[in-house]
Amino acid sequence: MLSKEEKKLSLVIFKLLKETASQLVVKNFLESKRVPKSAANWDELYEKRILPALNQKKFTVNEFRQLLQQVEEFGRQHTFLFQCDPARAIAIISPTRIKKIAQQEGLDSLLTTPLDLELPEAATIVDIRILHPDHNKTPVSLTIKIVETRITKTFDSELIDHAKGVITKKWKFAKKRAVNIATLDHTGLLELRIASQDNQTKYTNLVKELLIKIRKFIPHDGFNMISLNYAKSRILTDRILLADEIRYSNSTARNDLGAVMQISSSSQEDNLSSDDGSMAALDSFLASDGHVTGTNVYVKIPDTKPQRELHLLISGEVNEFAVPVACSAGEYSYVRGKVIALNK
Amino acid sequence: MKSVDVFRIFNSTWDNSYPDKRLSQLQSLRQTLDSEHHEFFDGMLDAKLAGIQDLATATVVILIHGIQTDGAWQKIVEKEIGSLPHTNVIGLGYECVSPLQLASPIRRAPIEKIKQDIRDARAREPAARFMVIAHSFGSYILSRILPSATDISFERIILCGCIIPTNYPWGHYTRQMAPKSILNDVGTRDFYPVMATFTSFGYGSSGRKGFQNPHIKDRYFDYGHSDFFVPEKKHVETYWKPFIKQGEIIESKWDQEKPKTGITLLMLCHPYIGRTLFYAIIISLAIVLTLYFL
Amino acid sequence: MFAEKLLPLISSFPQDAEALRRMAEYLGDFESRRGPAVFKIRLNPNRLFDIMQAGSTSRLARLVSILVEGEIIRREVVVRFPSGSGITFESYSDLPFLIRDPDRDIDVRVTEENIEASYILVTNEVS
Repeated sequence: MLSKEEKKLSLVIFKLLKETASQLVVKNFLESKRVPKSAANWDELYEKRILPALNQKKFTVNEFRQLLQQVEEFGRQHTFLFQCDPARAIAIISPTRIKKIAQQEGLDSLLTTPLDLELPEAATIVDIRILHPDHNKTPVSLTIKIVETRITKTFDSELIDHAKGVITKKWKFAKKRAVNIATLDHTGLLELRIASQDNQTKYTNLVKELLIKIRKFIPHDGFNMISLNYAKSRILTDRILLADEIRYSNSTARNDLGAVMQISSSSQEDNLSSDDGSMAALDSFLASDGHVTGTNVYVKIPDTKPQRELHLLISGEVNEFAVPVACSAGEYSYVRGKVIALNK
Repeated sequence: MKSVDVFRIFNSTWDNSYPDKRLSQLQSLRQTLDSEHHEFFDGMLDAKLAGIQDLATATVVILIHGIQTDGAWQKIVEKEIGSLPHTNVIGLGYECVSPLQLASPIRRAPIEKIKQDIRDARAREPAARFMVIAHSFGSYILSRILPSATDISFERIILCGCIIPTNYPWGHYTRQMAPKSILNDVGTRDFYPVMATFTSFGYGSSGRKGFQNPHIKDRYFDYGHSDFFVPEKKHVETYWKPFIKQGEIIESKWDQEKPKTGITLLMLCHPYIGRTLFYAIIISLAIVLTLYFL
Repeated sequence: MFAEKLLPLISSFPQDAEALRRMAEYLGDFESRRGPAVFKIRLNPNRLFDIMQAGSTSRLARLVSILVEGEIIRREVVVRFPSGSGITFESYSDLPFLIRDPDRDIDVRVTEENIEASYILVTNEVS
């Protein structure tokens, strides 16, 4: 039987899953644990399937938390890539160093047990993970998870006062949980994954805030932005070679005369690269002092039936790409690998 | 107001304003500035709106010249080193120092000026990697700045025509520097460091003898005091550019070929022996002349 | 060649000579390939940053101010619409609060998100 604390924790995790994941994701998890999964709604799913399974130890609260981690830490994010010298990275992710800093900051408990916060008042580090499978070798990576509360506005009503000639608009606001992740691996690759914003395209301030938050653990000196300009161009120039791997949706290009070209398929489901005319126009534009400023493609995930495609945007900051849809850790890893490979 | 002050106040306003009020607040701030700063201010706004960020690979190379010169050699170095990607070469100057001032203990003014200039440069490019090339009295200025200004540090240092004492405690003031980050290019025909050693106090012959210290890489060349800047020798291109670019140290053939330092020179380089001899000769000459004219 | 206009600036600003030389080389190369189209060049700050290899925002601002005061380039502030087109203004102080998007025929608020600087060459021709 679950203890009182474990039951409380399982409920917190469930509430967070409910906001982040679909029922299908949770049901797939139950299925993998050989737990019955049918339920009419979320509440029933918890009361009749999840809680009993936890009590019967079909899976643990930790495994349930790992499901949440998988769901909320990958996808619907904008990623910013930086690089430092591998020797520096190895020094930074040294377990001794991280433990010492965590102790100084009063965060050492996070090295073993993450904090399950729903809506913190300020951005809070909730998890510090060092991936160190072989203690005879250097650690593989350091991951720091930060949870923050964002305010989203929705238009509520409008009041027109004809006599005064005044329109008063009212917005409701709601608080929303956002998960941001910083991961530094032993090769020196620093990845900042920031939860997608509702109605802002610029992430400069969020990147800055995240870097400040983690700076005691990962000081930013010595890190260079990885420019993805080459990947943006290559996706276009090598489109025939990449036809089995990438479906092309739209591109934005600009030239040195200030002209901007935006070319899109008619819908997100179509493949623009099959339109020779559009591609010829873009090639011609790029040949005359033009350069790709943004590209929007769908990466085909291998060995999936039916074929699963993951939306990938490479635009914004020079070191930015985004996976604006929910995905698994494996799918995200595949897409990121693709971006990095195309950038070489 | 200096441009660094404009830079600071712009960034402070940008960082501390709400996004929807930012533009109007910046426009109000602009009105308060002298017109000479308006274009720089607008340029900063252009960059911020475009989302441009300082590169961590950006490099600033500070040049500090010697005495009785306005640093004409700096143009040569600016051209060569400035051709490296994202590299800003800043030649720092000060009021011309005469040999008399050099010999006297009154050396503070240029040190304070250069210290402030370096701080301003750092404030303008906080993310950049800072390096310094110091020649002659410029090397002395650098040696006085490092102990007193702990906020000033460099990733790489190049010294030439150096007049810093050979027992300067480099290990104390350059702890944060990686090994092999400080080069001392020595001219084996350079008499100025020797002269500075025996005629005054506080200087040394490192520019003639080398430091011979584990923190410093001494390199020897068949040069006089300022031959490093003779265009035909291509010293900057051959020996300094690779060091600034990627820390590569190109060895000098003269290291193996240079003649042995004679005993007279070694004595003159010694701060006590050389100075004692020099002042003994001066005093003797003064006595002889006095007796002669009496 | 238009690039020759930068020679006096290269002499007057030795500290920035290399960056200005890069700009001159870029303009010279463009003009040698595309002739009079050089006078239609319109560059944004990111492009200038790459061409001159400024390295930092403060250095870019300094280089832009040298080029503007040297009457090589002129700044225009563009309000950019989703279609890609834009409306230009001479300075930031001329920007209105609301602007009409000519492609969608609706009013759009002018904010940091849709403003960008744009640099055109200063020519002697009356436009």
